[in-house]
This record gives sequence, structure tokens and C-alpha cells, in this order.
Amino acid sequence: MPLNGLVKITPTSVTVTGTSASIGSGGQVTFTAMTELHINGVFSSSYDNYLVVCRHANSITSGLFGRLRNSGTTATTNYRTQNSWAAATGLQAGNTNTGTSGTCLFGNYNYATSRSGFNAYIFNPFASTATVCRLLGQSEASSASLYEFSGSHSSASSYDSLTLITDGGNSTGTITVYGFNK
Amino acid sequence: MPNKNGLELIVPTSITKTGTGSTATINTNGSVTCTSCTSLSLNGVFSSTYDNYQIVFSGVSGAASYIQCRWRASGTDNATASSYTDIWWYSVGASQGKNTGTQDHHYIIYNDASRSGFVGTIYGPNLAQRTVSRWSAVSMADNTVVYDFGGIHNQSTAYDGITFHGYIGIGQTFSGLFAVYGMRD
Repeated sequence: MPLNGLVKITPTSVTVTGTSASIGSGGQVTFTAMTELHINGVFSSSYDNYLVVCRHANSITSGLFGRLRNSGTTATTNYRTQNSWAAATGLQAGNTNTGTSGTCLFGNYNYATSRSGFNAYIFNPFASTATVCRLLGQSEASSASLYEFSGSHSSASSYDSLTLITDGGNSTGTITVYGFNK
Repeated sequence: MPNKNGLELIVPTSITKTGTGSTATINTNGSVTCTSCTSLSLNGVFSSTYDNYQIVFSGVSGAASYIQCRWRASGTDNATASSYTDIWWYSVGASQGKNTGTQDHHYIIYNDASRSGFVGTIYGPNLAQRTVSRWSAVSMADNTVVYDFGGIHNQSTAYDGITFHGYIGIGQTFSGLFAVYGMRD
């Protein structure tokens, strides 16, 4: 019998700054008007690589960003990011953060109250090595926009959790973490 | 009718490798861990059980270089000249662009000795028709880069395996974890 390739992970807990966040019976996290959300206990030695699927709507034109977290502490530095977006209004690359100046592993943007979603592939967050992430995102910004985002975290540290944070307004949506069996 | 797994981890029937001092092991559940390989063949991973597949990699290369691949049937890579056409899109620093090429292999990631990963989706490799693939990659080379490779292989051949190469002709090494998943029809 083939082994399930993609396993849905139930967080051990969530903590939220904002209106609410809860873990559904299948492991999906639903959040409402949050500005910061900690999704605890989703990375472990059971899997090397993960898929994070999120749909969200921000209250104002802003971004939703991801950070690594371990044992109750979120890493806020040592990230590098590269992104590019395509919309009806243009196509642009942006070397948003280099060296150790970055503050997030991934990000997705949207206009106020428009719908957005992304798949973020996170490689080796639990291993005591650097972590890299590749995000494929889209939103209703400028009618429809594509986001291509690569992020890395250079610290050779192990992380068991994920933090979502906005850079303005708040965000409402759902997020699910899956582990790739190995 | 009960739900089925949508994505299933596949156990290669065998693996072969090249590279001085290299190692490669099929793990208990089917993923493959390798170190310092210049090539790694995953045999018997494509079959009539699935049409489409995903391959996930996380690891490093010995130095800044590309990892490439060739489709493989009954233990032999298809290295037909000009049979692999690629288009890739990249975002590096303040620039972005596209590139195209036709050669005897596909490009799938540009990486270096720092961390990298990719997710590839392969459409119909075991069908006797042209094989299409798409590889979304991240690496810490050149700070951190966005790469997306799309490939078409023009041979109407049914393949049962794939070989990853560390830049053919140069023999760059790579190390990491590979896992092949079948997508239930």
C-alpha cells in the first residue's frame, strides 16, 4: 500500500493577536482580523519539507508575511528575500532584502479586502541548517496579480513553528500545513 | 466510496549514482538521500499507476551550478541531442527575465553550497508521448533567487526513471533528499 505523500499537520496550539484563531478538526487554522498569528508545533523530524496553503484577505492594502519560530520565540532577522510580481500594470523584480536585513521568510500581498492565496514550499525548517522557501501567490490586487517569492533564513537553527504577521491592517483567512512524507 | 490518498510516495525499484566518494540510499519509505553525487538515477518511479508526478528536493550543490535531468527508460538515459527544450524565468536582484534553450537535458535549479529546494511537476512521463515538466526552485545562490523552469522533451517515449546530473560535462556534485510522488488520477 503506497504511503500517503502529503500529510496534513495539526498544530499543537495557536496564539493570536487580533480577533480570533482556532484549529479545526482536520488541522486547518482559521483566523479572523489577526495582526500576528503563531502556529505552533507544525515542523518536526517526521518531515523534511512542507507545503503551506493559505487563503486570506487583508483589511487594507498590505502584505501577509511568514517567519520561523521555535519554542515560543519568533526569528525576526537573518532572512533574505527575492520577489517578483506580475500584474496588468507591470512586471517587476525586487531584491527586497539582502544579507541579514530581511525580516521574513515569505510574503504575499493584496489590496484592501481583495482575495489572496498562496502555496509556500518550505524546505528543512526543522533541521539545524539554513531554511529556504518558495512561494507561489496570487491576489486580486490590480484586478489580478501573481507573486513569485523566494526566501531564506541563514541561521543554522531548528524551528518547529510558523508565524504569520501583517505589515498593516489585519488579515482574515485559513492556513493549512502539510508535510511531505519521506 | 472511501477517499484515497491524492499524492503517494513512490519507492524506486533501484538507484544508481556516480561521483567520487558519493553515497546514495533509498530510505525506508522511499525517499532517497545522497551525498556528493555527480549523477543520481531513480529507477522504476514512473509507471502506469499514475499519469502525473511531483518530485521534491532539498539540499545543496558543491559549488554554484545547475542541477539538470534526463528522462530514463530501462536503465538508460535519453540523451538525444536537442530533444529537451527549456524556458525559464528568473528574478535576481533588481533584474528579472526569461531565457530559452534546447539541449540534451533539462535545467531544473541553479544553486550552490548553501541551501536550496525545488518542487517539480511532471506530466505523463510513463506515457509514450512528449513529456512536460515544470520546476519551481529556490536557492541561496546570488543572495536568494527565484527560478522557474518549464521543459518539453520531444521524444514520444515511455520513461520509468529520471537521472539528476550535476551540470553535465562539468560533473558538479550535489547532496540532499529526493522524493518522488505519484498523483492519483
